[in-house]
Amino acid sequence: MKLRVVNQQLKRLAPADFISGVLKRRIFAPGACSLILLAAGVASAATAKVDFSSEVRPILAGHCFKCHGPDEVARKAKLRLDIREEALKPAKSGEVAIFPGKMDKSELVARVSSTNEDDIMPPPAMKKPLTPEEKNVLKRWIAQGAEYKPHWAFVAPKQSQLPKVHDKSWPKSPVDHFVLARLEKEGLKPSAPADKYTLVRRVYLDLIGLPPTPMQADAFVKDASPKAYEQLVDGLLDSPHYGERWARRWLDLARYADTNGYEKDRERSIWPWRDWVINALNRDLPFNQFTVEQLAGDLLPGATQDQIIATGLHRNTMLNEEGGIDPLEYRFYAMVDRVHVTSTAWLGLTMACAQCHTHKYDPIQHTEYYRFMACLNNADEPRMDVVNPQIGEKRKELLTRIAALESELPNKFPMESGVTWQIPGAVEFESKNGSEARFLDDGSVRISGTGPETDVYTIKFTPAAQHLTHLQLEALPDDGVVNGGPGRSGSGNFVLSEVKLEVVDAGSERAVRKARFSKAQADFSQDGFKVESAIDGKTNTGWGIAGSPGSSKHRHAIFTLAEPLELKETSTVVVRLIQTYGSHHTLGRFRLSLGHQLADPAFTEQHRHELRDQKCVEWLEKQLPSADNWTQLRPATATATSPTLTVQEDNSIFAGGDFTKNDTYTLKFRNLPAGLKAVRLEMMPDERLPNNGPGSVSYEGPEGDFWLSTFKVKADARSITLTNASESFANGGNNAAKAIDDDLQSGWSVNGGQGKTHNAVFQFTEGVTSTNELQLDLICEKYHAAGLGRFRIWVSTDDHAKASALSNEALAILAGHKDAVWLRGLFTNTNSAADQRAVLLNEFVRLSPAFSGSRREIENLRGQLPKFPTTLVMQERPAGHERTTFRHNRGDFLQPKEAVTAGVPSFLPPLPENAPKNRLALAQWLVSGANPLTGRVLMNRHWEALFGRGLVRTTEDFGFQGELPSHPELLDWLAVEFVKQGWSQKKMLKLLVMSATYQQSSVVTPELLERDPLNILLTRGPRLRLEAEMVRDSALLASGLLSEKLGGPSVYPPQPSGVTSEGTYGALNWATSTGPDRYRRGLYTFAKRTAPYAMTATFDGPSGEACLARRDRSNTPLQALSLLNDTVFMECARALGQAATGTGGGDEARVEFIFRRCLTRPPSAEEQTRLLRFYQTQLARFASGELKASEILDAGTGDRLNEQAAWTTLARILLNLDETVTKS
Amino acid sequence: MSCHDHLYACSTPRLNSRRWFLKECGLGLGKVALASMLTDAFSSKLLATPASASEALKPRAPHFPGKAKHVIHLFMAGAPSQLDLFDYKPELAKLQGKPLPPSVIAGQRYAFIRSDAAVLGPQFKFGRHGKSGAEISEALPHLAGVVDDICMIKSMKTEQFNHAPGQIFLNTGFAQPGRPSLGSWALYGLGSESQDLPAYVVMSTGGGVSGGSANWSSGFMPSLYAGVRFRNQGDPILDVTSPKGVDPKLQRASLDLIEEMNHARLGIVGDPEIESRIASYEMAYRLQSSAPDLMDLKKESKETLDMYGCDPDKPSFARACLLARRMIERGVRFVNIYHEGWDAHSDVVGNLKSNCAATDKASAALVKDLKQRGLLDETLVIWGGEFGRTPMVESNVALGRSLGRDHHPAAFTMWMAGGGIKAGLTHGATDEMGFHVVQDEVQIYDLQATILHCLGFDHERLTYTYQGRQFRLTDVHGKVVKAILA
Repeated sequence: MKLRVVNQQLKRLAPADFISGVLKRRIFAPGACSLILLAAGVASAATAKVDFSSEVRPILAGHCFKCHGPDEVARKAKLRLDIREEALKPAKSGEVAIFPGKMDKSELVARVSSTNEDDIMPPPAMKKPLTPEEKNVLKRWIAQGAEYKPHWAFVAPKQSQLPKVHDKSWPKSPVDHFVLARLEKEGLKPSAPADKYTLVRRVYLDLIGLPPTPMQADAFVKDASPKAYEQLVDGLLDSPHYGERWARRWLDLARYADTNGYEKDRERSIWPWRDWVINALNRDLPFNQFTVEQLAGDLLPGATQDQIIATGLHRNTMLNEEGGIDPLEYRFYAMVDRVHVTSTAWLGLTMACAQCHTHKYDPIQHTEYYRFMACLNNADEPRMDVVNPQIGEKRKELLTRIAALESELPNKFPMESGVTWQIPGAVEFESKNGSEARFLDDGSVRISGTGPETDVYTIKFTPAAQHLTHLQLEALPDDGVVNGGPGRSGSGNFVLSEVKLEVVDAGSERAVRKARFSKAQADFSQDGFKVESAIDGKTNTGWGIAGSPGSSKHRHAIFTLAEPLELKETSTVVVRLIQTYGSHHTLGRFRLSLGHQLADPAFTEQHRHELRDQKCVEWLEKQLPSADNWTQLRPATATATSPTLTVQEDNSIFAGGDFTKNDTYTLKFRNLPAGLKAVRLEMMPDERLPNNGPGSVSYEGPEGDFWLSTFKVKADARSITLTNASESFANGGNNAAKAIDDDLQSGWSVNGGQGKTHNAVFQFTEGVTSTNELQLDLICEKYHAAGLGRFRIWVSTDDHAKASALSNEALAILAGHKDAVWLRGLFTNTNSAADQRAVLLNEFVRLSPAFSGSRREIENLRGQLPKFPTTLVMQERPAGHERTTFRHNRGDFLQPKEAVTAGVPSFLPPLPENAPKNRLALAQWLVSGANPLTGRVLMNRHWEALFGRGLVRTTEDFGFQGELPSHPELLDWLAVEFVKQGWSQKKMLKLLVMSATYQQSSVVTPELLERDPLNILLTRGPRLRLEAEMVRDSALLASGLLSEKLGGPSVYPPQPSGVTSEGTYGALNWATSTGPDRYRRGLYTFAKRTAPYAMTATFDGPSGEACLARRDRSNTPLQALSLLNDTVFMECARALGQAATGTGGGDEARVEFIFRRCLTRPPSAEEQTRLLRFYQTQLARFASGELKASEILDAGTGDRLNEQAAWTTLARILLNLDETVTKS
Repeated sequence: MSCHDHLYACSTPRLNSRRWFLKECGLGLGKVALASMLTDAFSSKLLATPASASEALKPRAPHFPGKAKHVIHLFMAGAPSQLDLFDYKPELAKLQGKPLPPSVIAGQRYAFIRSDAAVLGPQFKFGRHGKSGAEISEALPHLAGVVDDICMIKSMKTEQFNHAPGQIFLNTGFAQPGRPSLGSWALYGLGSESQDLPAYVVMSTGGGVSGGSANWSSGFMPSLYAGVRFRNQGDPILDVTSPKGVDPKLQRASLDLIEEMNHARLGIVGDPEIESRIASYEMAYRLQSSAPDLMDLKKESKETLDMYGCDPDKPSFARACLLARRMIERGVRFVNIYHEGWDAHSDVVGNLKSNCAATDKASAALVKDLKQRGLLDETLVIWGGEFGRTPMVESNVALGRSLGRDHHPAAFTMWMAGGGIKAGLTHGATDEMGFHVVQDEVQIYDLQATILHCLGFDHERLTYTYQGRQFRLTDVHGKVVKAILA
């Protein structure tokens, strides 16, 4: 047949053909298709009327507008050809380019005809010469009067009368009139209707993305009612799978993914937005609301949580977390991306071209691009908890328990164990293999670096005299240790092989007393590494802490001495930590404390309180020296280089907006007390901050932390020297002193203490006697943005003011009575000052080591609080803190020029007059109905989804360079109808699939193939390879494996090992889902930008790195390999094989069972015979042992394994057929 | 006269040759039409129909006969230190410990260090080698042995100073993901000559690549122009091995039945796309046997294995280089080997020692091996990172870093060999601090233009229309570096 001949010629031309594909994404010169396709019908004689839109403008746009178009900067010779009035004016030279009707007076004719290199247009250097035909068109056009027509897409669509058709019986919907009229004009006839099996399969795949089951198909095929098809369509539009299918297309445009992209490519949580899209489509949220909620849901009055989730659309931009980047630079790129997505998805405009200069072809000014950006550019970008009742209930329950425990805490002074603890602080540290230690203020020891493979630490103390009964070892996480410790192995783990304790009594004779341990307890032990192993006398066993949820946790072990040891004043306690496991499983940071068993365990509650109060007073006395008088200040001004600072009611300062890697906060204070000697910086948690603050770090570094590099004080513009800095808490050695050490790289950080209040105090070298203005400069500089989040400033006139962890209230009480006698009185005379006592007791409970055990229990419980899922959203900036948008010269982030106001391109209708020009205004403008583009663009994309090709083939470009519509009146009719139908996408889809055009058979004859190879005229139904997700979803459905669960976090179906780890910087260990999550629909597969799911990528799925308006539909051997050999499809084949074995009837019925699961239609007799023969051949091979059922089935279950295996091989064939992966 | 010859012969090939091509090569309008990339490649906008699948990778003639038919790009991801490997600056040793003059460092952006960081002198000795007397560090003893076959460009400059954007920029001419990579442009322009293997292969050794798949993406071009990953674990090509229990006989029988049924379907519905699918299954089958054959390095002589330093059983850079040579022999167009790990923010000496140990011998062996097999003339080998490293030391106690170097976009070194590049040449120079290029600056766009030139393309004319705009690899920039052409 003819077709074969053609293909043979192709082969002869180029036999070395590796991969082939249909190039769906490419774009062609405007008008090209209609010119070529319709050439048969169009006369090319010199007399024929030239059509401006289809013939002239493409030539002018392609060859002339670059220098003589909208871009004023690039314009040459003051000649503009895209507007008629301009083109008819004399140019710089005085010549007139276009003189309507007069070729000889038109300079354009002379210049395009010239053979002189200096005169000819376009200039040879452009490398875009005109063809003789093109020159001819221009000449004829001028001769005919040089008429211009406005660009079709920029004029509001009108619904024209339905065209008259001869065959009145064919049309089933208005759509058909347009299509048929055109076919009749071309002398063509539509194809016959598709058979019912083909049709039911087609409409299932189109509307819900899944094929019908044989039963569903039969129900339709056997239903002879004239309403059968419509009922089928209605049912499908009501199916929850409808939302899944159509959401996927929107996700392509929205560049949705589950990771941040670029180098680190870390996971993000934005699937609630994806679910919002699915739900919105399922409830047929009208497209105008669909638009408004996604672009500006947060700006709607009384915005619901759902409407705010919807704003995640533009949070799908990528985030570069590389250490060396400028965050604002990548924020700018995200804004560029937002403009791009908005203009592509709604307007079908290539606005991106105007980022660097005025659009060369379309009337979009460079400035207008940035005005459009300004509409979108006034939002902050927080992460939001998605509150849901189930989790809310569970949280409430736990929080009630925690509150109860907390209120009980003061009564839990630890008497049950009867042990009091002392942290003597090490005086000497020795390492067998050369590790070096630092002693920290909290009595702990830090050993940095990976160090030796094994080690023995010897730690010596000189504790106060006491009765020694217990030894406690706390392993502490620390950023100064390899990967955060507490162990140095890299995973945070360590193995304590043995612990030894001895007491050396100094004196005339040095006596050594060795302790024997009788008991060991730990808050957590790794499987196989029980804490008892550390006292079993064997060094090949030991205590380890690896396990869920990771090793980087505070852990502690308590070792009980078999017999108490009495310590004298002169005693030295020596502890040996033997760590012989190897691979650096040694401790990085730890603390030892000595326990003292109280004599009488039978304390009464009264005793308990007495003892508690006594210890409380002792503890408070120790706090007295750092209980200074502080005066809270309210800033007169608070500004920052980039973030926006707002002074809160409680005088604290909240930082929001954009953070950079080097931010300076400048605070000014007036009305100050005289004699200032210190400033206190109180860092405060805030639920608006990442991880509740107090810092603003949201990525790259530890969330909720900050990095205060430098703290500077000026009094009346004179710099004050700071001598001493202290803090209530610091992350390792990154303490407050590092903020006054003149080294910008070092700084104060509180990582590990997120969600809590911390203080730093900076002392002045000399008191400042009298000051009008105090200025503080706080510099936060780090390789990632690390600004302060919320904080407050206090000053003191006390000498030697020091930081304290005490609450402000407690500090004020203690500072008011810096007196131990008063303090004791307060607790012995319980008849007065109960409030003060309660405050102070609360601090004792909150901070003292005595309660650490009970507090840990509460902390553990708090750790079990179920978290709400989070999602990324937009939040309009507060008034007074609007972000300014600039025009960027050449689109360069580093070249901001003048500020611009929000607006839209002037060739389109303006934004509403009386509303603020923000995201809401822009969203409403897009769907106002007056916008000529939105409706057309949407309807065109839906057309493309069903027919494989848009009425405008360039779905993403409706500008001058885009292709002209093949059926302009039809597109306009649909665009207007869409608005009339209340922007209902379901109604419009129904209208399309109800058409006779859609229901045609897709069988193509050689004649049709020659006449209309790309089916532009719609001479037949669509026949297209399924999209990536649908290929897999169909196989899962056919095999009965598909999980129908809707929504939720993304899942990890099987894929070959190493896809997301090997060769990927931000490697992800693909923990393959088990159970139903293994078989969810493709749109739930975890989407990693730098390493997309392999099967999806092979079948032209997107990476989520850029907006995708149209997917390719390639056809490659890698796809064949995936279908033939991949685990996913083998599992489907096995499930199908097993199901077939279990069905009744004979082998013929089983062939039919598998066949119809894959192809829907029943097999022909010939097909059945052929398939059965294959089955029998394979069955014989299994029976003979030549093939092994156990291998094919991967240890299958049930009986009749050989049959199962043979049916599996047959199912594999059917899953691989062209027809199976095709909508026809 | 073959189709390709005719294309060359035409002085203005745009139109005439197209017509001739369409007529003489048996492809008429309206039939399964000619691949549209021709239209784009030659900047014509005559017609174009989204061609049938089988067209996209047909071998095609470039604008003019290029010397290079293949490219092997050894991408030293993470950015090696040019100052310790290629660009010897004794002045830095003198300045060691002092900051650079403000005039030198003004206006630069850095990733981690401050601009007033102290200078760090060269960390290795340098020597002159070969007839060309090229200066190379002792850290690259094997490369020193082939200096007369390579061309060093010491005047490279980029716009990006972070890894992912830097790598993506070098590969695609744009710093954010979404544009076609060099390999995709090569396939788009030249098509494929390999029967049984993907035309554009990507391998990686060392750590992961910062820019991820965007580095070998086809961007807005059809996805079949994207690079195909060859993996170090499991199947080299995903799913190239038949499932457990499927023996060759069953696989063949299965494919036969699939083809038979697809043919039957073609007869009924007439869609030529089915023909493409039949072909793709046949090619998949061939791939199943050609891939193991390609990977079977035991067929190589001991001398060859030793020359590369390759253990056939272990994934390594050496193994990837040897595989690359075998791929070139089998007609593969473009090979990327990423070796990530050069990001020496700390301990630049230790970093270079380990990375040079992993790559030096094999890189040099690849040049030697291609040469002795007569393949170097038609294969362009490119070696280098995404940017260079600072003359200043990186040290940061808070980050635990010392004796490292930061990212440096203003000047770095790459080398190329074969494929139309002049051998034994050192091109360009930097100032005495190695900070700025002072002679023959080569921008990334220039490098890209030169690579396309070697393949036979005028980089200004190799365009692809997307979203109403004709895109080029080199955007609106790029000059062919004629001085380094053979």
